[in-house]
Amino acid sequence: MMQRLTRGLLQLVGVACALAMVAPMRARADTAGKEIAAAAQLIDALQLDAAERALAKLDAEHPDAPGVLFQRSMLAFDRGDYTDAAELSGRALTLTADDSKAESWRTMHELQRATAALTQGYVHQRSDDGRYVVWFPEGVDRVLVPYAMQTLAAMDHTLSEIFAVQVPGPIRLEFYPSAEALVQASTLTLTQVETSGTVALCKWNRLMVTSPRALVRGYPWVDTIAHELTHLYLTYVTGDHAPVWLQEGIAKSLERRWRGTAPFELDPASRALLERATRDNKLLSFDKLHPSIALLPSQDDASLAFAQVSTFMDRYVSTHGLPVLRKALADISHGADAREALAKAAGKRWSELEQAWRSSLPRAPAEHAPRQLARRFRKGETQAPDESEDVAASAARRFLRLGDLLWSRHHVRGAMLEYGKALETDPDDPIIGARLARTALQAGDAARALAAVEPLLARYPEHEPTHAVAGAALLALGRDAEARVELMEAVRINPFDPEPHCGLARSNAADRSEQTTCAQLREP
Amino acid sequence: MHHSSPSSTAIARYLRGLQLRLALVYAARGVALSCALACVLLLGAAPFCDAIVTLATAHGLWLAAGLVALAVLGVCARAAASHSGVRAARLFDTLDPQLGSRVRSAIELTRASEDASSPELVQAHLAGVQRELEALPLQRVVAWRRLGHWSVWAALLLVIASATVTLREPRLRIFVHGLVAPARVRADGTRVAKVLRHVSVRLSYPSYLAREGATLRDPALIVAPRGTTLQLQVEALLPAQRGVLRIDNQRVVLSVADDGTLRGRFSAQHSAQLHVQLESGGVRYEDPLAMALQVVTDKTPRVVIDSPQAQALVRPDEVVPLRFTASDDLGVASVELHMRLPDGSEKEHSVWSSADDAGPKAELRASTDLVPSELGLHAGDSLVVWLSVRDEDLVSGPNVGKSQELHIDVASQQRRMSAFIPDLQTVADAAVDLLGDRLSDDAPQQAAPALLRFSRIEHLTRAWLVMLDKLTSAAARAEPRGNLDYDKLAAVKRRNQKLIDEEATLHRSVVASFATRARSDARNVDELERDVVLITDLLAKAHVDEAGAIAAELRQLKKRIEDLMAKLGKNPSPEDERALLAEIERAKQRLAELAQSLSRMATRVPGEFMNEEALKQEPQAGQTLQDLESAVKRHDLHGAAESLDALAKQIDKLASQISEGGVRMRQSRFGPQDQAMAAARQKLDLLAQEQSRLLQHSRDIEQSGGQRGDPSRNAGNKQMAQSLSDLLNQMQNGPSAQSPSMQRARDRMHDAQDAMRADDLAAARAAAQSARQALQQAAAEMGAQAQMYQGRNPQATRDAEQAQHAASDAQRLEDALNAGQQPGSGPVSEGDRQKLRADVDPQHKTRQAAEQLKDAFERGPDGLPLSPDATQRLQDAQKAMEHAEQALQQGQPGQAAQAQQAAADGLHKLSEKLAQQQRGEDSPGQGEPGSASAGATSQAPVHIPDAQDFKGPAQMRRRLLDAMREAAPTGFEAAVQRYYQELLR
Repeated sequence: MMQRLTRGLLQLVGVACALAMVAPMRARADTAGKEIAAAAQLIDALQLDAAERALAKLDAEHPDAPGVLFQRSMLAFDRGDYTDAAELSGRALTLTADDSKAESWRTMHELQRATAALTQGYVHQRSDDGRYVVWFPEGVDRVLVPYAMQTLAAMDHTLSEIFAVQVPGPIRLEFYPSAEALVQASTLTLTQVETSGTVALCKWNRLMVTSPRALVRGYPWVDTIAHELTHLYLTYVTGDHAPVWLQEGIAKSLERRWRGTAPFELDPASRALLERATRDNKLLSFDKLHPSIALLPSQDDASLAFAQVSTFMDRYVSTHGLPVLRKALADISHGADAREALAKAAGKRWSELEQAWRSSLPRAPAEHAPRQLARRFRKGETQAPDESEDVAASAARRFLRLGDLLWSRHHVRGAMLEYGKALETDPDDPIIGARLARTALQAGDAARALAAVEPLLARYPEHEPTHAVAGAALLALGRDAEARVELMEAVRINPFDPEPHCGLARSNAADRSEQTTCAQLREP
Repeated sequence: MHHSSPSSTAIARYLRGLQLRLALVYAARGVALSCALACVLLLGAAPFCDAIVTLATAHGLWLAAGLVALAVLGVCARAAASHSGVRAARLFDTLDPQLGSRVRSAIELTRASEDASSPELVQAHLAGVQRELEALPLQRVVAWRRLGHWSVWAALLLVIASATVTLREPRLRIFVHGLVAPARVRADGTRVAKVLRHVSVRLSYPSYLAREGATLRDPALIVAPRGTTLQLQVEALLPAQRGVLRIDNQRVVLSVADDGTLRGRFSAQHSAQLHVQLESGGVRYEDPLAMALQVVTDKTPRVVIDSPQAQALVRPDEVVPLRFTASDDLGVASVELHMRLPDGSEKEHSVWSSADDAGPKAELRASTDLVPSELGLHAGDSLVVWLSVRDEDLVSGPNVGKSQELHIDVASQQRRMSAFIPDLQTVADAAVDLLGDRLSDDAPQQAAPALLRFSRIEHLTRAWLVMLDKLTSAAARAEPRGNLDYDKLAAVKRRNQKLIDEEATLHRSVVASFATRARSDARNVDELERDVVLITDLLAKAHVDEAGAIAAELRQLKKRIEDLMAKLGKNPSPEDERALLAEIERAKQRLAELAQSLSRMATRVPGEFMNEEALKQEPQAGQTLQDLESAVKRHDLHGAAESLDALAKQIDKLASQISEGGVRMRQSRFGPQDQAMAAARQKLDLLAQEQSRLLQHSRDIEQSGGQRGDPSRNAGNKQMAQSLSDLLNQMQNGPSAQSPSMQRARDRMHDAQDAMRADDLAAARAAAQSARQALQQAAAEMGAQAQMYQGRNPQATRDAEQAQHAASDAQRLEDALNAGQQPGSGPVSEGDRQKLRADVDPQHKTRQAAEQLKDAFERGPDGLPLSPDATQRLQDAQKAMEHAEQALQQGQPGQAAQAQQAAADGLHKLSEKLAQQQRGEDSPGQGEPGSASAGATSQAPVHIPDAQDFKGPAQMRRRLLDAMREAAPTGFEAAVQRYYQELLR
């Protein structure tokens, strides 16, 4: 019996010892998990230096811990070290036994690898102060860099004033040559990109922008850089707690602030969309915009979404001022609900804010609202961009075809007459107007050229050929200052059209960069 | 000083004359003697010399003879000199010594000095002598008969004897000849001299030339084809012990024949100079005269492919006639066709041989047919063909000539149409230029500048119309007609032709007002705008169709590759592997063509119809093909299967992407027209059906009248039929009357009678026709038989006559029945008239519908005709319908049916044509007709046979009866009988 008792006591002591050993380990693991999560949050909030310090500490304490490795990979990813990121996440995947995380980690690992592969041949330029770094594929996209730098600097300055803070540098901007490349570097699908017309993202501490040469007509890429930089700021300021609608609303309303020009105004097409949706009670709910406007089913929906949130935020800021906005954002960064934070900061209820906004929405249909020119991605680099199929009226399309055929065989007057017939059929089509203006210019009739496009400039501000030919016509008429405005606008939509650059070079002989760009783009 | 006077001069002259005559006499004697002595000397030397002396010998002999002659002449000269001077007076001694003395005195006195004698006496003496001499002719003093001195005769005799001996003695002749032309001695000792009397050359030509031999006698030039055997026969001047024929540097031995001639033979291979050498008396001689031998080489035959001339594009099942002309100087012996197939292998087969066609021909024009599919070629393959021609040169081997190589591309129907794309592009560009030219300046108000402008435009327009015409003609001639809508292009041409002609009248004949001219100009611009759009759409469609056709060929190739891979997997063989690699090579070629086609599309086809995915698929497919090829070569079937799987998917995707683009393009550019066309075709089919129904109704009415026929005529016909039947029955008894033809004739007559009793004129006519034919045959058979017996069998003769008579009667009956069936021959009852009139309104409505349909075809949604051809045919059908209406109104079923038939035929043909066009357009890339993947669902109307199409039991019965009359093979009679019984059951 004594033996039995002794055996039992010994077993009891053994179990107690084991428990004593395991418990601290579990406690340590729990603490590490929380620290890892905290590090992840710092990364999401773009507090990269703090995240780095935390991860260094964790790495020292828990070397080869899968969670730590993965977060280190995310940090590397955000810093632009894609190859290291992929290697670290690969190790994390190998070591982890947690199936619940493995799937998402795998997705991120694949994305990191794809991004590394995509940017393998990229080159970069850094601003003089090192704050801005632009990465791009070697080649014609080099044309984008100087304008991108100017915009980044201007918008950075503007935003730092608005938000009273400056995001830590360097600010990384990457250009992608095509929609496919954007897809490769993101979690979007090609269908989503083409359907919604998404051309840029701000994620993983960088601005991801599709080169305007990927679209048939280009797009306002410069404003888009400003827009994405705004997202970067908002992520930083709100610790990535701002909902999508708030992000988009503020970014859209502020995206032209860097120009230092007139206050925010919707373009006519978007205004018409908003008016129609208001009239038909088909406004999108703010919740529908989550997780991304890029996931909306059509470009019209995306345009409407932008129109709604931007007008809301513009009204909010103009009514309540920037300090109120900053306060709301600060609350959001601490985890407050966005709607509540905005309402609280403004001293109103959310419903009042929304109601006030709805009341301010346009009701009267704009006369002859312009139609939306969809963003069309080019089908491959071999195909020359052709926007003829966007001409709405079939009769006008027929005359346009005839004009194009005559133009291609150098029958300028004939082309002009046919384009003229097309414009008579549909006077509001910027595609036709631009072609008519081009032929009129070629025929030496600058006044007629300008007359063809002037009414269309304000209605279709995103149509590059209209600005380009207007600028050329103004130059021909000796109105250089106005010409430069239009030509620069053309460059800010499609910088790969050589004519605006050449026009700018002619209007300012001292501008060597435009001369160089003109020469480069005109090379076959 | 001497005494000189005229007398003395005369005397001296006289004496000189005498001396001269004497000198001549002595010279003649001397010459004769020296010749004789020289002859004797020379001939005397002959035995001691060679037959043909050398130059040195001849010189020696001549020298000796010359010396002898000189000696003799010397003697004679001396003799003549002994009568010179005073001694000349001796010449008178024989005639008158005193005169001689006086002459002597005269000579002496003339020489004496004047001091020695009295001049008067001397003169008187001289004068006296002179008188005497003047009275004495010289001939009397020195007569020519002195030439008849015996020495001269002896000399002459000697010369004659020498000559005679020489002539009779060949050796002497040669010797004498040699003296005249002595032989040149070569370094080798050969004496070159004429030693040949005659040379005879017999030419025996090579057997393949099939030429008779020839014999040449003493030829200076011998022309002979290479390989000719030359047989020489040489008659020499000297007896030769042996001979040699020297042919440049070669030698042919000539042997001595029994008759002393030298003979030899050789084969002429190359041109040369022939020299004959012989050896006689130990000395070698060579005749200096060479015979030139000119050897004519057999020329290489020529062959030229006359058609097709340039690169040909043909269908796989098309019979391609290859016409050629072959020629040869001596005759073409054979022609072979060579083919290099896509896999690199070569085949050949004989096209013509002289052995089968009465010998070689100097010129041959013939043709041979090629069918690519029979050579295992498919659409997209290329074939190189050429001809080789041989002659029968058996000497140096047959000469072979080769024709030019002809490339034949085997293309599907659609690929053939892509041959028109460059021309269509040119036409499209020209149309744009024409429009641009019209728009480049406004029509001037003033007439003169307006005319100038118009002249420029007219020139361009007419040139463009010529281009268009050429293109449409070529497209219309292309067989089978494919996707290029040449109807529309032809209509474009017609419209523009009309407009420019009209516009020309406004500027030329009477200048129209500016407003009129401007309107015309604007009309032309409108038309051109439509046409430019149409032509560029057709061009874009052609490009798309071309790419689609290539993609379809790729699909077929893929299928064949799959089949070969399966074969290879089950039972590997080098042949299958080679075939597979050949197909892979074809696929690579097709992909390369597709890449070119897609790149052309990128500039010619609007981007909205271009499928960019296709541009990506093509290089991927190319790489996969490469991988497949490598795997096959490595015998890695597993890898090959994987590559094939990927390739199949890529090709299918490529083909469907291109097809989608094509469908989008068609819908966009031609969609409204296609819809309008489909609707119009549907209406056309309904119209055709309605017209056919009306036609059938009229036919029924016509037949019921025609069936009955004219009663009186019918009675007469029945009578005729009965008589004929009786006659045939009478003929039953003779042996020849049992022939199958006669039996058949009887049966047909019974049928005719039965039909007439039932008032079925049509059946009666057909039966009568058969009876007539059978009787004619029987009459011919009996006539031949009668002739064979030649009057020994009167019955046969009578049967033949009767059969002939019966045949004539049957012909009359048939004619009468034919006349009875003409339209309008039978009466139209009032009831039938009512029925006909009842159809007037439906016919009228049908005509109106045709009018509307014509308008629909005339102007499609884009303002251009849907089908100009349809417009015309509907117009024709309308006219026929109008005639039908009138005939129905007038109660004439026959005429109504005729017009309705014309209308219905026109409508059906139009419907079929449009359906055929639609079939071609529906399947631009779906393979050949008849292939598994060919064609979309046909929209052609299904023809349901009506009563007229079904000839029914009557014909069947007749055919059976005819067949049963024929004798069955021996031993099978019962089986045949059972067969017929089963059939009839």
